[in-house]
Amino acid sequence: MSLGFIVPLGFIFFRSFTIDGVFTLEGFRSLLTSPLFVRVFWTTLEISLIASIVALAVGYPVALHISRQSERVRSLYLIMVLLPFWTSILVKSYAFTVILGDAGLINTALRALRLPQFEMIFNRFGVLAASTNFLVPFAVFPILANLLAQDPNLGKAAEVMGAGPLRIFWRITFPLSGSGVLAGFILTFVLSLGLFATPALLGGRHDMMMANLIDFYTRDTLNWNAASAIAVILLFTSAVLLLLLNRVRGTEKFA
Amino acid sequence: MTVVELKGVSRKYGNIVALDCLDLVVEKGEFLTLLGPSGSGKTTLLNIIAGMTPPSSGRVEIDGRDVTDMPTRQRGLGMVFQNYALMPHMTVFDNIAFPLRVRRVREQEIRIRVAEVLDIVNLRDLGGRKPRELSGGQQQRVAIARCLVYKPSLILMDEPLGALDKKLREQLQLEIKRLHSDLGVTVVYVTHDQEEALTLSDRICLMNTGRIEQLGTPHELYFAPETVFGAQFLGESNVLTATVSESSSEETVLRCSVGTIRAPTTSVATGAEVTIVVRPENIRRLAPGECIGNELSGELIDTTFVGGVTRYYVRPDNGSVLVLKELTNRTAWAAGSGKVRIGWSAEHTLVIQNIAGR
Ligand SMILES: Nc1ncnc2c1ncn2[C@@H]1O[C@H](COP(=O)(O)OP(=O)(O)OP(=O)(O)O)[C@@H](O)[C@H]1O
Ligand SMILES: [Mg+2]
Repeated sequence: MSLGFIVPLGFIFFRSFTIDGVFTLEGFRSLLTSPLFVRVFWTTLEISLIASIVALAVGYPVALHISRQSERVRSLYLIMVLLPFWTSILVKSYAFTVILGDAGLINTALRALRLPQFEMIFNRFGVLAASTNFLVPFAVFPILANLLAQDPNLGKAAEVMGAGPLRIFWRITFPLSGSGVLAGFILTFVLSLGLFATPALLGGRHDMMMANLIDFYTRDTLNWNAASAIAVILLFTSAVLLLLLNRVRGTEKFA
Repeated sequence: MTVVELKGVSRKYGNIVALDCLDLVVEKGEFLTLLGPSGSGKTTLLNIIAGMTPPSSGRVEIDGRDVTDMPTRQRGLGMVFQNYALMPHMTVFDNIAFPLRVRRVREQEIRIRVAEVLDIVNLRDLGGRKPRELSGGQQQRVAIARCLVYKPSLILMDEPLGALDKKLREQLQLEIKRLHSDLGVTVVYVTHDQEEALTLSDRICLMNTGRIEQLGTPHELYFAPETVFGAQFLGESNVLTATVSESSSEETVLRCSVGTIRAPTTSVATGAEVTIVVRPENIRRLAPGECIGNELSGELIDTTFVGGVTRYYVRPDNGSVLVLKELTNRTAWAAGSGKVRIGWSAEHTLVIQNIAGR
């Protein structure tokens, strides 16, 4: 199995550093000077950053709520969080057209209420909404793992000392969950760097991301050298971030 | 003055009865220990006083006020946990300052008061450390300091020394005892270590299966156990079943498998089935012909040497094995077997009435 993975990967590496079998850095050089690549690069960073942060902002309260349930209720909630995991991204994208589209649920409702309507798909909003939706479970799990690992006696001790729930959260629970949040951020960020279907189906012309650019180079311009170079850049960035994630996991335990 | 009063407090978890209709009064300034085997309801009782577990029925009063429905944080108590429960991301100083900041004490005063309690627990220069940079004993001292700093009138401790090794435990026991008598706080202390309970307590509340087995001074619990459980949980005991054959104002005479046994006078009626308890340290070997009240002969079947004391196991001519303990001396009995004569004086026979249902 790993062979089936390593061979194509080696092929991509080879392609990114050669043109017609001759070693060259031309692929990387032309990419860095290409306005298209630079624009897509920044778009990708921007979408990934916003989507990850929104996913964390949504995922944190979810994780907090789940962490405070009894074991039975907790597993029920976990199934609910996992459900979108098992749904194809195509199906989910289609669902978003049904909800956000011009003739979708929200706009139809707004029209019925004689309120102004919004364009919510084939633009940045559509991409962000769908990718956040995809990323939330990945934000929930590391945060939840951290919250569950926290010593419940800390909260009890603070309560006995007179602290209210808000103080306990902001002074104890939240600062102690920092490593979980960071792990969640790295995970969601790496995942959103590789988003392909979501921007392709729900984005507009200005929402092309790196994976879409690879697709563009391989299929429309047949520039395999450039496509491979992008893949290598993506892979390298993700690898660095994932290594960082390992470090975060390693320092998780305080005591 | 009464600090805590529990009135008919019960706590059920499904079918499990963790506390069974329990009444308890804790007086101001006393050191009360909840002692009992695992699962006897000690932690549950402590959590009910703290307000972290609501009782299924019954009332809880603190300082004469009914606090049954008052949330934990308004009760103004102190609590020390077995695993210290120090905030790992805060320095020792910030940990101790935490309850003061909750109370909106001015920073200037906080510095003075934290320094004061750090002094009391002998950790003067460690304010800047994180808890993980301290030893277990030091961490528990910080936890105690954090509790003392806001001067609660009642401090609850749930096996605070359970995670420490024996030496350190004994040292901290003495420190806790000193703090208690210096500061005059009321302490309710949970332990399942009988020695710790005997060392520290003004009174011991012996618990078993969610009920109070016996409540009294360490002296009372040790020398006058009211139940077989109490006799066996605190100190060692030889337990025999017997029948009262004669009860007079001078003595009680009982009949059991090893023969006739004399005990001090009791209120038990003649003919009653009772349990008798004799502490191993009260039994000794007898010189030939010596009479001390209760004598019997048997066979020495084993000897174990445990430092300061030596334990002898003797099987009476008819009956189960009795244990006796003597201070070790070089000319102790030769290990091995042989016929021996042992005995104890009548005053050392404890007669315990069999109470139905126990
Ligand atoms: N949250 C809970 N859910 C169900 N049963 C519980 C719960 N807490 C305690 N119990 C049960 O109540 C009984 C008393 O428990 P408790 O923790 O008070 O015992 P303990 O005397 O503190 O024991 P230990 O010395 O082991 O700490 C036990 O049978 C325990 O199983
Ligand atoms: Mg306990």
